Amino acid sequence: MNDARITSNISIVSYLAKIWWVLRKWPVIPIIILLTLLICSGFSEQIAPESYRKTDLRLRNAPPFWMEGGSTKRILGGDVVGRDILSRLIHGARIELIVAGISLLSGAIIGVTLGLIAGYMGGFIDELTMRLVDIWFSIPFILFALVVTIAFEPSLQVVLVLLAILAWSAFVRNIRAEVLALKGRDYVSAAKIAGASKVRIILKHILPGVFNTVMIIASLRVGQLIMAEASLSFLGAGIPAPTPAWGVMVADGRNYLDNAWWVSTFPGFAILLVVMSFNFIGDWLRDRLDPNLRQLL
Amino acid sequence: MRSYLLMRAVFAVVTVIAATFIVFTVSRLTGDPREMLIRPEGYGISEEAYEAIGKKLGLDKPLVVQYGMWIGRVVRGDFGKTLLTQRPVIDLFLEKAPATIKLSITSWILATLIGVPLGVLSAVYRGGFIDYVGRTFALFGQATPAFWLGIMVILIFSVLLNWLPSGTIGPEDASFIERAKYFVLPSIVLGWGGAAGYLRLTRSAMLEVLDSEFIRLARAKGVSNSRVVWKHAFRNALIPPLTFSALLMAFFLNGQVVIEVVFSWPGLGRLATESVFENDFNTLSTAVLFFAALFSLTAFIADVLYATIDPRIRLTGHKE
Repeated sequence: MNDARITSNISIVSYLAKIWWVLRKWPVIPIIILLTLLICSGFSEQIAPESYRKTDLRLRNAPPFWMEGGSTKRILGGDVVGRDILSRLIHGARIELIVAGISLLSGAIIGVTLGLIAGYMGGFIDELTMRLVDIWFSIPFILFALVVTIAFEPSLQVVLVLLAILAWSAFVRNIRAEVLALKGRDYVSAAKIAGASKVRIILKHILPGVFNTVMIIASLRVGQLIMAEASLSFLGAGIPAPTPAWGVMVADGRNYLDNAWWVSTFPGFAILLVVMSFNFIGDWLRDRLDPNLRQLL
Repeated sequence: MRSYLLMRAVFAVVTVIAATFIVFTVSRLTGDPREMLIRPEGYGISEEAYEAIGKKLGLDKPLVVQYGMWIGRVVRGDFGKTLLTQRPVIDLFLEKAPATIKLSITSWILATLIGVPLGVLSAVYRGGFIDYVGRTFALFGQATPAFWLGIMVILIFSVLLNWLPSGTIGPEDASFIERAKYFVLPSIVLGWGGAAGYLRLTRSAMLEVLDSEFIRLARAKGVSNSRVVWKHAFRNALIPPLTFSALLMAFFLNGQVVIEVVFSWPGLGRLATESVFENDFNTLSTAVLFFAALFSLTAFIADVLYATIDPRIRLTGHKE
């Protein structure tokens, strides 16, 4: 082997090592996946090759383009009524993000507020809030969600409310624990002596201190919310047709496994990728911001 | 200690009552259960008969009274009858429960046997190959939607390879091996998420313990590596996975609605789901009571375990 080959080999190895180092240090791949999701949800009309509701019975259960009989008309195949799976996936990105975003935000607001109040006030209010969380934990969520959906007809609003009340409980527990620790700090006592009101202490002195925890819980929680939404949609208690929710798409293909595996496979894989990316970023944030939270979550 | 546990027990009962009341109330919003009895293809029902059924079911009374009547009967062991078939709910439950319990236990054992040792190894060889394998396993386990994973394993192992049955619990009279085959796919799908949770908890608990002074002392004394890991570190890292295991069992017993639907498993989860769609409030209320009671019981057991293991709780009567 001559010298030039060796140096080029070394440079390739060091190049690969550098890539590996970057991949380990920063969540590059998850960020790329989530950026794709964001772009798809923002510009689904421009990106998607087809409308999400355009049916074409000649292309029912059409295979993906690389398989025999497949065409570029249906890149990832067609579903039971010939709709383009790729286009439905792209359009579905928006609904997934909206659902996760709104429910997470409202859950976080409710949960953080309750956690702050319970932790700071202590006593009866604290006890009551924590028992409320216990009660909520002991209700089987899927069953509860099914009952609620049937009572109010399946709709986007019902799903949002259900997921928001699924999201709040994790915030309450951890934020409360955090507040209990912050409450005893000197700067809080100083503010108290200086005559600051309770509301001011909570908002100005304690809330900024729990912000990191809120971020971490939120990022670890998104994935679960997307998963819960998908499970509800799968059971028929989620977002109603024709909205292309990914969970519904998985359910659509269930009865065609032996002749059209792609109908269920791709939407489920999309859920997997997105949830995994969110979880990964959540872990990464936690390790950076507050490794002590490992035990809490 | 005793007063602490007594308090927890009282709260557990209150929790169950509140949880069933909430679901009871919401389920009454789903409409009049009597409408299930009037089939579109039938002759209809007379005003008097409609009222009579309402009286029999107690629908003419306020919600709180209805709930009180229900809980009063439950305390006396009467869970009512199903709406459409008029079978005693308790019979139906006893018939369906074994399938759910068997599947839960299988998945629980599977999750524990895989998750805990892998978590320990992952912590011991931190940053090494095993750690990457373990963490990837956990990452996938927590991100894969169970219903999709269920469909995928059915696609691969039953449709394409034809190795394993795609669903149901199998015939009663088949041999043990034959019946065990029916458990393989559902318990893997159900257990994976649990194993992932175990792995993460065990790993982080182990990392924390392995970092402490007494482990360094043990190593300095010349204690062998495996003894340090399993005897000194593992025993002290046991609390998080132990508490988790109680909750996981409860989660398996009531979190498997989706799995039971995917695998057509004849268990409680599917029974409960059907009762929602049929507006069968006796069955639904009993299911919620069962799940909530089970959850509170396991949470209580977890508290007791905590208190027995951790002397700080035993002495002060409070969790840190």
